[in-house]
Amino acid sequence: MSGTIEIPLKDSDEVIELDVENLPDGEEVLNILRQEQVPLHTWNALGLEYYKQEKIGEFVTVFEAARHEANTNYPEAEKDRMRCLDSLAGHYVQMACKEKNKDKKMEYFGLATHMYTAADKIIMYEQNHLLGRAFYCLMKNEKLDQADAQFSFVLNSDPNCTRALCGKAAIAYGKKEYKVALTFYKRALRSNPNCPAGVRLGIGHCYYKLNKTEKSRMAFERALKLDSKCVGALVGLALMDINLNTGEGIKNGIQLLSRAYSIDQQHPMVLNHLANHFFYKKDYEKTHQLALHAFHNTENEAMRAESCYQMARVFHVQEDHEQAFQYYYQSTQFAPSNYVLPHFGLGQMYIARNNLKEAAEHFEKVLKVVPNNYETIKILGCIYAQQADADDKKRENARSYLKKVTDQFPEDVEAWLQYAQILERYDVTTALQAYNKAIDVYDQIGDDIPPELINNIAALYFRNSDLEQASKFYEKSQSRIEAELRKRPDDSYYGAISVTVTYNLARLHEAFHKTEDAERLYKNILREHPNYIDCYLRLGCMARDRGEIYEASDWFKEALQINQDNPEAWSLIGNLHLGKQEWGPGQKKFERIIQRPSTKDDNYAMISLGNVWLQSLHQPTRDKFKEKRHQERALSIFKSVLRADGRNIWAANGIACILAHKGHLSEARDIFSDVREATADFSDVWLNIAHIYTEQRQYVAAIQMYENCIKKFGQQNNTEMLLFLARAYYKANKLQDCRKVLERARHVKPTDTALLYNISLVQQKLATQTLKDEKATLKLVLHAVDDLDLAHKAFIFLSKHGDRIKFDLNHAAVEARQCMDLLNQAQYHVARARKLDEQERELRRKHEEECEALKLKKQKEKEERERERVEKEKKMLEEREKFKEKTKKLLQFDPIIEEKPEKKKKGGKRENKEDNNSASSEEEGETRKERKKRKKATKRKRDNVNDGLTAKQRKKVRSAQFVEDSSSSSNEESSKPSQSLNNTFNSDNSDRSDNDSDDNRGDSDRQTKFIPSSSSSENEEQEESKQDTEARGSQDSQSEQGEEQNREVSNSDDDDD
Amino acid sequence: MYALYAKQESAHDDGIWSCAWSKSENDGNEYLVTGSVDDTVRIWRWSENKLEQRHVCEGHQLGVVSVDINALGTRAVSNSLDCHIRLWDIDSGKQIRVIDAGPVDAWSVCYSPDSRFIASGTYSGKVNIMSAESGNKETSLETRGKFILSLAFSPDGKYIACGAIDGIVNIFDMTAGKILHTLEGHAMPIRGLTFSSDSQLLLTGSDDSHIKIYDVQNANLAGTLSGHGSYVLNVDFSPDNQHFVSCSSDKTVRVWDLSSRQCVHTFYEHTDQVWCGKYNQSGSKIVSVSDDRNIHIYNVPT
Repeated sequence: MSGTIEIPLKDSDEVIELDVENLPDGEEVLNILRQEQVPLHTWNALGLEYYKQEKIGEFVTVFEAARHEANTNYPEAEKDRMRCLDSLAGHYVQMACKEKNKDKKMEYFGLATHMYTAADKIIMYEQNHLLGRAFYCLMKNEKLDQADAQFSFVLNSDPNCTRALCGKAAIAYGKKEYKVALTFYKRALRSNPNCPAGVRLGIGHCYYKLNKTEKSRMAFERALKLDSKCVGALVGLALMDINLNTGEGIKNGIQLLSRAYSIDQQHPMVLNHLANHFFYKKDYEKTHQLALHAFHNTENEAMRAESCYQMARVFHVQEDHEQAFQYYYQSTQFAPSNYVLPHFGLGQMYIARNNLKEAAEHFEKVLKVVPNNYETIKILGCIYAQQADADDKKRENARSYLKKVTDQFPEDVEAWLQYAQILERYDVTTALQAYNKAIDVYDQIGDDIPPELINNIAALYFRNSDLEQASKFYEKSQSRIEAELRKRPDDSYYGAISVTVTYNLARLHEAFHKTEDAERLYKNILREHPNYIDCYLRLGCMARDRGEIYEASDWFKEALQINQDNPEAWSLIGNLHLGKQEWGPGQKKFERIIQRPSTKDDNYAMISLGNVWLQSLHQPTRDKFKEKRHQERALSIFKSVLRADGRNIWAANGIACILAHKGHLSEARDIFSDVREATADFSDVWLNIAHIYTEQRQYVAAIQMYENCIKKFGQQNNTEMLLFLARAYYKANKLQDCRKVLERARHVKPTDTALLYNISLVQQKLATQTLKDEKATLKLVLHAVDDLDLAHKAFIFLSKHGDRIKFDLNHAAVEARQCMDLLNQAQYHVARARKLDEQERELRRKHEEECEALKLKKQKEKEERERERVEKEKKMLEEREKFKEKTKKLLQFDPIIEEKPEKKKKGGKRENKEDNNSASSEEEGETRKERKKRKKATKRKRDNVNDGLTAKQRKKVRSAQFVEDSSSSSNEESSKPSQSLNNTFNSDNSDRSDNDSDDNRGDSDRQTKFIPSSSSSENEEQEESKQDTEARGSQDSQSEQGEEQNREVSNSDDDDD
Repeated sequence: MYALYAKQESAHDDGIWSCAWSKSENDGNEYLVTGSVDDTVRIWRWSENKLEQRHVCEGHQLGVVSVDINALGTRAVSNSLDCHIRLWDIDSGKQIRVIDAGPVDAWSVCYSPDSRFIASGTYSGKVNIMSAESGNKETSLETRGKFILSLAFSPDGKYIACGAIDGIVNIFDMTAGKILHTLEGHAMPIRGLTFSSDSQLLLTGSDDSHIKIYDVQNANLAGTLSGHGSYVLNVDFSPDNQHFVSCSSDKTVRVWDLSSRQCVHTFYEHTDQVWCGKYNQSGSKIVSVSDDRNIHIYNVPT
């Protein structure tokens, strides 16, 4: 068909020859064609010529016209009609594929469908038609099965049809059956060695997918040889070059891409890859343009996802996180499920927005596709590690992720650090191991260990109470900092760290009780950094612990000069007030904290307030309504704390106290037990449990609990606790133990008249018991009389000089009279006991005599026997025969056997005599006496038990409790340098008694924390220094409560009685 | 070498609150006297590096708060929560005299250096000086302060220092019978104080965990020592004035070097708070008694 096309003229043999090179424009040709009623095949030929010359407009006009107007009145016109329709349809399909506008696209597809349907009616099974249709189905990417069937149909009739083979191959390729695809392509190639470059291209792709790069490369190169404009081959080669990841390779790859670009500026794949390249070249503008271009040139979602990702990266790297976020997001919308890069990016964006939860979700998606991706695991681990509200499961995840990372990459310092950080929550010891691993890694790579890290490790040792190690690491840290500062004296960063380490060292000195050194360091810090508020607080706490309340107060006020809303300073001042029983001012301080918007959720202040209300319940009041109101107030405060922090044990403890106060003892006990399970380091809850035991009359358990508490918390000198213990002993009727405990308390605090009162009362009661005992020995009776005498004097003293706040002085006077009465009766008891004693002695003397006599007798008998034996032996010895010797031996045993029954008899005799009380004698044996005494003592005890209390005594008991309860408070708690993490608060409040809480507030421990950067590539987070402020503890504050509570208890007991 | 040298386990039936160590002029033996919550005073002989219980002195109705031995090493004085002061003959273990000080007016007791007097602190902040012979009250020194927990005579007999429950220390000039200095170094109870053997320095130990050193003449604070983790219950100077010992509720006994103001050794042998620790006459040993009912004797380098 080269050269010319002939248009036959109507009704003649003439033709018009049209020069192909120089086709007239469409309208003109059309006119001719119409006028001359030219057969369709000529129309077709003309149209195709236009097409070849890329005169698409003419092509369409000619073909469209041909469909209706051409002369089909000739044989085989049908085939030409088919050709006409199929060509048009094919054209429309192509247009549709190129079209990006959806509506238009659909329109083209519609036209194509229309054409194919028309063609179907003419010759349905014409090969070209079928192929066209099949490709059309393929293009529409829907009816793959239909397309497949059609290709197969074609192949049945023409097994070597290249196009059909290619079509099958494409379908197989799309289904990822690369080997099948490859066979089809190969068949096509075999049957048609001159087939178009596309086949080679397909083979190249198949090989590539099958990981046969060399063959793939050859196929691409061949394709390129056949068709120098084969963009697909160019891209394929380029990618392979680039993936070689060598400088040369990348350069070649880029050249190839550029070539592809110069051929087809619209090809999205080329654009994306070029964008990618420019991204690494850091030419972000170009990247963006190319990606945008690619985006607009494709309908393919995966392609678009990649374009969006490229653009997002550009924004990301330029730190335009807002835009980056948008594009990443878009990309994730387009992306197929296995294209996870945009999720990674989006995750990073969420991190930048501090939305760790969302971030975690996206990284989880990444991890699902690439389960062993180290960076993702690490980031996820870090996220979970840092998520403040992460639940245990997530933390557990974090732990296992990080463990995985550290297992896989033991040289990854960041991972070790992060791992150590999450371990801190669980197990300080393993955390320390992880830290030490990190240090090892630093050592291995020869890097200087950051002093922050050493400081953190030291702080951890500190927390683990390994003070020696802590000290070692702090010193190391300090020397490292000094080294850094020598290098860069003006570096403010290390200067700041140095201050922190100094502060930590001071805290360590405190832990070693080297308060002088600690004070010096704190003051040094303040000299250079007068705003370092924690130093003021620590200085104040140290003063407080020395009992210098005013000085402490001054320090706290200094702290307030710097920040007048500092909740810790206010809390500490509040606690000072509470410690002095200044409830009102104390309450105000805590209320002030809550009123400030910045600290309105301060749990510590809330709990302290709750405790103030709770403690008000222990003030004696007859106003039931008021009591109820205070209960409710305390309850609502504790509840709101619990709402904000479900694990707050102090709030739980407070609620249990209120329950106990309302009489729900077993419920209260359950809560207390839970609290104690949560932490064993909270003495109040031990006491509270013991109080409940006491209330429930389980005195043995109560006593054990109190004693354990005193021992565990080193409160041997806490008179209040001792008083609780004494009270339990008293109630259990173990008066001797009670007395010893009270003596200990009084030894610690001799000025406490309530203790004196209690001791006197116990003395009186013990004496009463002794005097009542008819069989008490003289010694015991005399001792009892002395006790009474002491008690009497003490009560007289107390009735004049006692502490009115703690007990009613008149009670003391009443007791004094009681003692006097008893003393008056005592003379009778003494006389009786003396008589008894004399009888006893007489008895004992007689007994002794008898014993002596028996002994003598026995001695004599023994001598007798001995003599006999010796004689016998002599005899026997004389006879030296063996048989006789045996007999002799038997005889030897005899005397011993005899002896035994005799002894027994004697013993029985003795006892009888004792009971009879008949004999009297002056002599007494020391041991005998002892024995008797013990016997008596046990008897007496039994008597007591049986005795039951007289009404009078009961009355006494009551007053005793009264007094007990109003014991004084001790303010001398040693506050341990407690090291708890944020918000460890102690409340005290225990049920009806209770106590003091450790003070933590102000024991703030500042640690610089080192947070490894959590994102892999671009998004690095800087180290942060985190301050662990320890919980501030209240303290002494509540000591008083107990007494009052006790008073309540005793009152209720009275009722019971 | 600092080392635990001897140990008397379960020396009393309950915690031990006080002890004294002296050498008898009569027989040249060294005697220890201990007082316990079990209401008894016990007298021990220290011979051949062994403690031997000589007497169990009964009589006190309540726990024995403090004991002391006179200069001759022949008599012991004790008082208890029952506020009776009792004098004992060390050799025989017999009670020689009992002084009823009233319901509250006797806490710690000590002999004057010449052994002629016994001093005891009172509830109302007085120091009563009694004749060791007759038991009669000779004089009363008024501090106008709070309950007196601790007392000490200076070895030269010129001063008596008393530490009160509010942390105030008063030093009396014995000849004038007047307060010489009032030291407000502590804000918490002072349970132990002692003079150096040259009477120049006064040591105070307080519930605030600190020990302070004062220059007696000028009442200057010469040093503050920290290291104990809880109440300092007692302090005692070594005879050579180089060292002193302190014991504490933190269960430790610490030996300090006076010149450097540093703790040179810490004994962690007791399992409960250590109420009292004393040097022997030569300064080669320290005795300590504790709530764990044990008596420990330590070797200390002189």
